[in-house]
Amino acid sequence: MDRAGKPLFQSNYLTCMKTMNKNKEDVKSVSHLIVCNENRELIIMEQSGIKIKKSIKLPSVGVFIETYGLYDIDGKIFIACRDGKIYVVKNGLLSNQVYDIESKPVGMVYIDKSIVVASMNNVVSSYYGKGKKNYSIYMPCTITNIEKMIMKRTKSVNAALVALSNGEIRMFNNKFLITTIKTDDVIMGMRFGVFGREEGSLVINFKHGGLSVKMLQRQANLSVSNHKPGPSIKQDIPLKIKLFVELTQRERDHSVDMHRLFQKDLCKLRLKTAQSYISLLNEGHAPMSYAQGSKLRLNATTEGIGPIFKIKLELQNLSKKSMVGTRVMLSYATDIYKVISKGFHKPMTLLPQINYNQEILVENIDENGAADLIRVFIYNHESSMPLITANLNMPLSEVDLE
Amino acid sequence: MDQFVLAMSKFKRQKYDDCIEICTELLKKNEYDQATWLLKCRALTMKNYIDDLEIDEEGVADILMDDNAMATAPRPGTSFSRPTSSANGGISQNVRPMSNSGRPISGYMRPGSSRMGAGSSRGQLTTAMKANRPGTNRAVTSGGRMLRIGTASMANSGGQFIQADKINARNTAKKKYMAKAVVDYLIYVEGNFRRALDVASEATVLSKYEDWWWKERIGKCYLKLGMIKEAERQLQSSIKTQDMIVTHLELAKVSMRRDQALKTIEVYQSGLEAHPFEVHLYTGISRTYEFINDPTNSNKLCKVVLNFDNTNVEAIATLASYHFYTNQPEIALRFYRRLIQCGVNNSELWNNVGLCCFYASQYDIALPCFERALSLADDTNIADIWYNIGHVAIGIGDLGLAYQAYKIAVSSNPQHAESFNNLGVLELRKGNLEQAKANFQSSSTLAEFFEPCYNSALLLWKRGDFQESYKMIQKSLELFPDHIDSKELKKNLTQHFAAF
Repeated sequence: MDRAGKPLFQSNYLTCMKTMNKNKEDVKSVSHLIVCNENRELIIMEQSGIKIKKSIKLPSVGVFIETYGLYDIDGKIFIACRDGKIYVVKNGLLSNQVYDIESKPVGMVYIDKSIVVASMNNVVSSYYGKGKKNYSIYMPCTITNIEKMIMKRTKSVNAALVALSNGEIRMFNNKFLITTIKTDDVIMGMRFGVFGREEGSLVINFKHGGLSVKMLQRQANLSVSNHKPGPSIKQDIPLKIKLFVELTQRERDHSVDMHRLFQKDLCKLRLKTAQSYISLLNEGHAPMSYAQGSKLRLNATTEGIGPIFKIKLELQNLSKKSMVGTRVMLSYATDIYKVISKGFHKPMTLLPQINYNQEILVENIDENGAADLIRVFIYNHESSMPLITANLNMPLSEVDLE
Repeated sequence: MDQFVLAMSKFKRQKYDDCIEICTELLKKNEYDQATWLLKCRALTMKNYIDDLEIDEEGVADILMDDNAMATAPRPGTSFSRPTSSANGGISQNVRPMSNSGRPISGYMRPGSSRMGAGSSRGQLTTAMKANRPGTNRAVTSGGRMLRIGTASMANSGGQFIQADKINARNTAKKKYMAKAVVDYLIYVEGNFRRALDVASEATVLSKYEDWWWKERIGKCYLKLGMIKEAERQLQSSIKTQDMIVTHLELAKVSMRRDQALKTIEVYQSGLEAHPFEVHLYTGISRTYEFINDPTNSNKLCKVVLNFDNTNVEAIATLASYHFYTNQPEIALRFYRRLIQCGVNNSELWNNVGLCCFYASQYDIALPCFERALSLADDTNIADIWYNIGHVAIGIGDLGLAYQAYKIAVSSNPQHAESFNNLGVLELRKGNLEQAKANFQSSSTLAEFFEPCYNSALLLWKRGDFQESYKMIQKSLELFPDHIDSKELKKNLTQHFAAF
C-alpha cells in the first residue's frame, strides 16, 4: 500500500563482482568495483563505491568476471555469460570479440594473456586474446572449481588449478598436467594465495564442511616435463629379444617347408576333427541336438547319494515353434537301476523359450552300489534318432543297510 | 634268500606291493614278528604316502564349519581369498583366464590350492553335492587326497591292517619306533587323525618333550583337525627343539589356513635364515606371491629356485605360463622345451607347447604337438585340448573347424563352460541367435567368468531386451570390474533408462 504512487521498481540481483585498478598496478591503489546483475548489465562503480560510473548492456546475464590491465589504460573486462559466450568490454565499450564455449561456463580465470574457462561438458578450454581457441583439455568428471595459481616472489608460476567432483585437483601449466592432488571429498571452493608468510598456499573448502590448507613446497618442481602428452606410464611392450629374432630368421629361412608342413598338418587335423565329430553324431553322445531342424537344449544332473537318486532334467525349446509329442526315455542296465517315478513317459508339448524341469527318481538295486551310465533320450515321432541325448555317469551309491 | 631280507630289498626299491605280500606271508607264520610287522606298516604307509608339505586341501565340511576368524575386509594384496584386489597389479582378467575361485589359472596344477574364495560357486553346498568327482556324488568332506579310502580299497590291503579303534594309545606309544610307524600309518593310510593324535600325544610325553618328530606330527594332526593355534604352538616348539625344514613348511601351512599371506611369506623367510638356499622354501614363497596375484615377485623367486634346481617343474611351468600370458610366447616355448627335456611327457605339456608354437608363428610344429597331446589325453583333459584346437582354428580363420572342435570339446565334457561361450559366439556369426543365447546361458551358469555374461548382455542389448541385458552386465562387472567394454555397455544402458 505504501508503494502506491511510486514508480515501478525492479530489484536487481547481483551475480558476480570483481575489482579493476584505476591507474596503478599496486594492490593498495584506487580501484573500481565491477558487478554484473540479473538484468544483463555490467556496472562499473566509481572509486567511492557509491555512484555508478558506467553501465553496459550485455546480451546475456554474466556469471563470471575477469579483468586485465588498468581501467584508465586500455583495460579489458571478460564476462562469461549464461548463454555460453564470453564477452569482452574494452574501454567501457562492448567489443565485437566474442568467445563461444560450446557449453555453459562453470569457472573462468585469466592466466598469461589467455582466458581459461571450465565448462559443464567437463572441458577446460583456453582462448587467446585475439579470439582464437588455444587448447581444450577433457576431464574425466565434472569440474567444480577453477582457480589461478600465480606466484611471483619465490618462484615464477602461472598455472591453473582445476578441482573435479571426484576430489582431485589438477594443476595445469598451459595444457600440460603438472600434478594431481587427491582429496577425499567433493571440493566446493578453493583459493590460492598468500597465507600468512607462505606465498603459495591453497585453502580448500569441502562439501561436508571441512577446510583444508595446503602449502606449496619450496623445492616443488612445477616445470613441464619434456615428454609428449599421452600415456606416460612406461609401456610394457616386450623388447625385441634375440630369441624372437632367431625365430623370425628361422621362418624366413624355411618358409616354404614350414608352410607345406603346416598345410599338410592342417588337412590332417581337419580330417581328424571331422571324423571325431561324425562319430559323435552317430553315437549320440553330444549334449546338443543335431536332428535336422530341431533345436533343443537339455541339461541333466544327478543328485543324491543313493540308493535313491534324482535325475533332474532341464529342457528348453530353442526354436520358434512349439514342439508337440516330445517324450523322455531312459536307457540303463536293469540289474543295477530301477526307475521309481512313473508318469514321465507322457508326451510333452514344449513351448518355445520356456524351461521345463523334470525330475525322475531312480533306485540303485545293486548290492554293492555299483555305478553305471544312464542315458536320457528325448525324442518325438518325427524320427527314430533321438532329438537330443544326455549321458549321465551315475555315482557310486550308498548301500541300503537293512 | 631270507624272506625278510628280500622284503627289505623290495621296500628299498619301492616295490611296495611285493613287499607287503611277502610280509603278510611271514606274519602268517609268526604273528609276533615285530620287524616284519614294522616293515609291512612302513610299506603300506609309503604306498599311500603323498608329499603333503606343499598342499593343503580342505573339504567342504572344513570350510563350512570353520570357526577361525579371518579378516572380513582384508587389505588388497594380503588375502588368498580375494586375489583380484592386488597391490602389485597382476595380469588383467581380459588376458588371463580365471579359475572358479577368482584366481588366475596358474601354470602348475596344484591339488586343491588352498582356500576357496568366499561366495564362489566352489564353496556352495550345491556345487559340492553335484557329481563333480567321478565315482561318487558325496561331497568331499575331508581334504582331497587325505580321504579315507575306506570302502573302496578295503579289499586290496587284505582287511584292515591296524584296528584303529582298538589301539591303546599308551601301550603303542611305549614301543618307540613302532609308535612312529603306527602314527604315520594312521595319518597317511587311514586318515584317522584323532587316533594318531592320541598316540602321538602319549609318545611326546614319554619322550619328555625332547623329540622334535613327535611335536611336528602332533602339529600336523592339529592342523588337519582344524585346531590352528595348537598346531602353531606345537610346530614352533618343534622348531626350537630341532630346526627342520619340514616343520617350517608345516608352519607356513598354518598361516595359509589363516589366510595371512604376508605372514606365510615371513614364515618362509625365517626358515630361509636357518636353512639358506633351500629350494622348497623359495618355491613356497613364490607360490604364495602367485596366490596373492603378485606375479613380479613370484617370478623373481622362481628364477632364484631355478638357479639352485634346474629341473624344478613348478618354477618352470609358472614362469612359462606367465610369459605366455604377457605376450612372449617364444620365451614360454623355451621353458616348455626345458620341461620336455626334463622328461615330463603329458598331454597338458604338449598342448601348451602347441599353443606357444602357434602364437610364436612356428606353425609347422604347432599342429603335431596338438596331435601328440590328443593321443596322450584322457577323459579329464581332452575337452581342454579340443578347446585349444578350436582357438587355433579361429586364429587360422577356419570357423568350420573351430565349430567342430568346440562341439567335440563340449560333448567330451558337458561342464566345459569356455567352449560353450565360444560356441555361442560362433553361432552368433552363423546367425542362430537362439542357439547363441542358450549357449551363453549355459556357459554363465556353469562357471563364474565374465565373458559369457558380457556376451549375453551385448546380444540382449542388440535385440532390445534392455532389462535382461542390464542384469547380465551387472553380473559381468561383478566378476571383472575393470572391463572397459562392460562399463561402456552399462553406460549406454543407463542412458537409455534415464531417457525414459
